[in-house]
Amino acid sequence: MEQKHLVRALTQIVGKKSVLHHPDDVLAYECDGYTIQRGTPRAVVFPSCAEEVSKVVKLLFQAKIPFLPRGAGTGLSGGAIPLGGEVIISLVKMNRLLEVDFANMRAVVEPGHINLKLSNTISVQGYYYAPDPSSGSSCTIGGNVAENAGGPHCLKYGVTTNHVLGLELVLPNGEILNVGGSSLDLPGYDLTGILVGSEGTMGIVTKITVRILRKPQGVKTVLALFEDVRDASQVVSDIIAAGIIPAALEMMDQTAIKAVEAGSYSVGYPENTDAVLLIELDGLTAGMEEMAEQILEVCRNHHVSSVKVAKTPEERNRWWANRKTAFGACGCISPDYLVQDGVIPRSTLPQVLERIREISQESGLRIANVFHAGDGNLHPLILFDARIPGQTELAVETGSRVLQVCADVGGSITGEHGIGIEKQQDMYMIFTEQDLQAQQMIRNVFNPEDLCNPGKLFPKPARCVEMKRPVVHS
Amino acid sequence: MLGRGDWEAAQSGSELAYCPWEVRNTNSLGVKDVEHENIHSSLSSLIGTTHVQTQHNQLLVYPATEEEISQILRAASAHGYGVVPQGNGSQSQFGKGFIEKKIQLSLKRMTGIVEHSIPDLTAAVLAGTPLQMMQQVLKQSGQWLPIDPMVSAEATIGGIVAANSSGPKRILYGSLRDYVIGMRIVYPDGSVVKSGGKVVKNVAGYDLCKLFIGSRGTLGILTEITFKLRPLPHYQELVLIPLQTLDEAAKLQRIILASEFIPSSLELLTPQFSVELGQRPSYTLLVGCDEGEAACIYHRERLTELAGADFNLKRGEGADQFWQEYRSYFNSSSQDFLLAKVSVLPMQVLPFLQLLRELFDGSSVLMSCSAGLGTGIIRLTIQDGLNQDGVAPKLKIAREWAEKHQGALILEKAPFVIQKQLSIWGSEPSAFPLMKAIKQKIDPDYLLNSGSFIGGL
Ligand SMILES: Cc1cc2nc3c(=O)[nH]c(=O)nc-3n(C[C@H](O)[C@H](O)[C@H](O)COP(=O)(O)OP(=O)(O)OC[C@H]3O[C@@H](n4cnc5c(N)ncnc54)[C@H](O)[C@@H]3O)c2cc1C
Repeated sequence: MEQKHLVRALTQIVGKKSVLHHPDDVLAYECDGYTIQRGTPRAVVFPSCAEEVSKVVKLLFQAKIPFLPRGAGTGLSGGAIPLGGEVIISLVKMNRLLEVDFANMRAVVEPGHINLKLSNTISVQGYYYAPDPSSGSSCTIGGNVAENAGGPHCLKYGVTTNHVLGLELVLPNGEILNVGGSSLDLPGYDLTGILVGSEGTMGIVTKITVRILRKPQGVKTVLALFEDVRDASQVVSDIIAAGIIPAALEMMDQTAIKAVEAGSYSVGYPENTDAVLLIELDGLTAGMEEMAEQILEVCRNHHVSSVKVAKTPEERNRWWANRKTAFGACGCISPDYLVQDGVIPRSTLPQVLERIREISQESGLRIANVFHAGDGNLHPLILFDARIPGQTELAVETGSRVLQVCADVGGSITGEHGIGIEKQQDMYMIFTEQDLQAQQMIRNVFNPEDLCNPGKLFPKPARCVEMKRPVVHS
Repeated sequence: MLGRGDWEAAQSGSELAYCPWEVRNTNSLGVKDVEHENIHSSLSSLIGTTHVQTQHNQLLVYPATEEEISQILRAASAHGYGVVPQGNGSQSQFGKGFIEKKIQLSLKRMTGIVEHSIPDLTAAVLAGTPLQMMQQVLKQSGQWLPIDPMVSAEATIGGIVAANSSGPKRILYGSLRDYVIGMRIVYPDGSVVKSGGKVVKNVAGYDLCKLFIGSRGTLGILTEITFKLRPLPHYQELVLIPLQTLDEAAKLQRIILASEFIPSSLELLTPQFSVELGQRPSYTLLVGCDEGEAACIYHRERLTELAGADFNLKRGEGADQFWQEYRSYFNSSSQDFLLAKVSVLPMQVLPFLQLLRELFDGSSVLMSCSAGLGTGIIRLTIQDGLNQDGVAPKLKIAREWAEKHQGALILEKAPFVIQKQLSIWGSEPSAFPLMKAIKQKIDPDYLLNSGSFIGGL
């Protein structure tokens, strides 16, 4: 289909104001939060309801034009980047909160609804939505579903998939379909479970039923500083070993601390701080004091240099703002940074941190570590300068080496940010060809012509031979 | 970490029946002798004669490795036989579709904990391992897999995952889909696929595990499953409050769900069930707390404020014992026993119980329920008298009500007279065509457990 015909047909469906196609207008859609690769979309459309999404998809499906869904574009693995001239279907106009059922603890949202907005809206009644990505004030719940997003409080409460009960979906052929529902264990295969985390490769989510939770009665936040990162790692292990599952258990290393202190929410960490732990307990207030004391004890047993419990909500918020803006704060200490995302068995933390330090030295690039320590989810931030020729490639390669370390200790190459285009080849670090084929079998059921977000998530067969060899399971 | 040897040592204490599969419909003319001999000898050459048995014309095989399972599946396929995976047969009542030529594949020989990483709170377990034994091992390090399904002591973890079984504690801990982090599966074509891994957070690739949880063995044979674990609660209490009316229950339900309570169970037992469990002949509300001693005391005080001090209390092991009795109630081996699982929204639970009461009022069958007031899952049992007219039509009305309210009613155990009148699964969901397409993609010849899942999958 010719471009002008396409634009006319799209305009007929969604209206003139909801189609962008001039090169200048679509510039902002060349990439998402992963800025290393870019591509120009054929057009960007902003449907306002599932029927419009369906019509747009039917049109593109018939014309065999590739397309991809996009939420807020904060994704960090390039899942929303149009590398093959896709039409971008942006869900930002479909941002309503459709229904809140407090008694049954359910809410129904459109995919463009902003993550944090849901919690803010239901907060007055004493409820919240548990998955809390650090990007919560801008990312969409549709994007969260696609990436199976996590956040600091997922240690105790689980990630997006543990909170999504049902979806409305526009299949890649334009058909509208419902999967799951608001009751539990509905008969049949768990299609909701397989769709969450499928990175927009199985269709476009147009409605989401989520579980909402009652806010806990009490919260206690502990901030502990260490002069040796190894002590902090040991504290993480010992807390879990004591049978305590905190609501959150976050860690930052020295380089990350430098960054957050240079950012907008400094806490005033002393110069010699090598690691910070941010530990949060929540639940019934009865018994919480003792549990906090237990945690303080563990910290003291490992040479904590300073440890305190937040005295006011403001103090707690400040500590969290400091932590949650850590990625962006790296921009204050480095012209560019690459956010990595790997997972390791918690017990290997000290050894992996040591390896990352070595990799940093070998590559000559600084690496700041910010992570969800409680569940072994690392975010090494690789600091580089894109103006120096070769540094971008070096940063990417260094990131990949870090992932290899994660894979080698039995971990995963992503805990929250997804594969997208960034980690397609890295999939071979943890999966065999057979494993990947089994996954693609499912994609082919939903998306047989690979028109919906094509060329993402799976390794490119042609390149795999020269670049990386598949792992062999023991 | 525990080695396989330790496991076997732990297991040797209990002798499990080797042939738990109950054979109902033997038709000696159904299976041609020659075909039978052929596949029998071909299977024997693959895994050894002692591990291939024939009982009442049913072939039973006991593979010991993934590789043997692959070979069995390939052989079955070549001979035109179907394969029915079973752990210890404990879930075998589930939608048993009858196919003439089938092989029962038992995972009884594939037991043991492959890896238990204590500091990481994760464990990889072979699918034939009984849940109870797995919990015993984990307990030694103060950990558990926080599920409490209504299954017998022999029930294997593979069977439990395939059936997505859960219990009252789900209100606090969630279900298997929240704890399975990795799997190894033998696909119908004999290939071995890994999904997920052994870390507690992982979004690399599709989450295929979700597809297999609750798939009733219709897509692949699970051989090894990796779980995220939880620390065992230091202390627990269970408060049992007698209630005269459903209205009282409704009031407490609303308050407890909408306030600071963190119940580890919130079940309402009907009077019949209360009596069976040694309580008064009234409704009984069970409110559990796993949050430590101070929190338990707090819960108890709050409940006293709300419902008075006239309640029963079980502490620590007393609570465990109570739950054990409770579970055994659902494991009746009687032929005249029905167990249905109903799923609705929490606020529909009591209206549903009201409906049941109206339906069964004056009926002579003994119907009892345990209703999850926070989960919306109701377990309904009927003992004795299932051959009477009227039971199936009543359940049909109950199912229609549940489905109308976005829920479902499935039969977990039911005698043939009921199954003849009422389907096991109820209406097909609107996404059924996709489910069917998945089945056909993974198992195009319908080799595995065919006909036993919704819509004949
Ligand atoms: C500063 C910062 C902090 C972050 N912190 C976290 C964190 O703590 N935890 C975490 O998990 N992530 C984090 N992220 C990553 C990112 O915010 C999440 O992946 C988020 O879920 C993406 O949502 P989005 O709306 O921006 O989606 P997009 O980036 O627009 O899209 C992401 C993917 O989802 C697909 N998609 C979007 N909408 C739909 C839909 N309706 N149907 C189907 N597919 C769809 C897209 O095709 C794409 O593949 C962070 C990012 C930044 C920039």
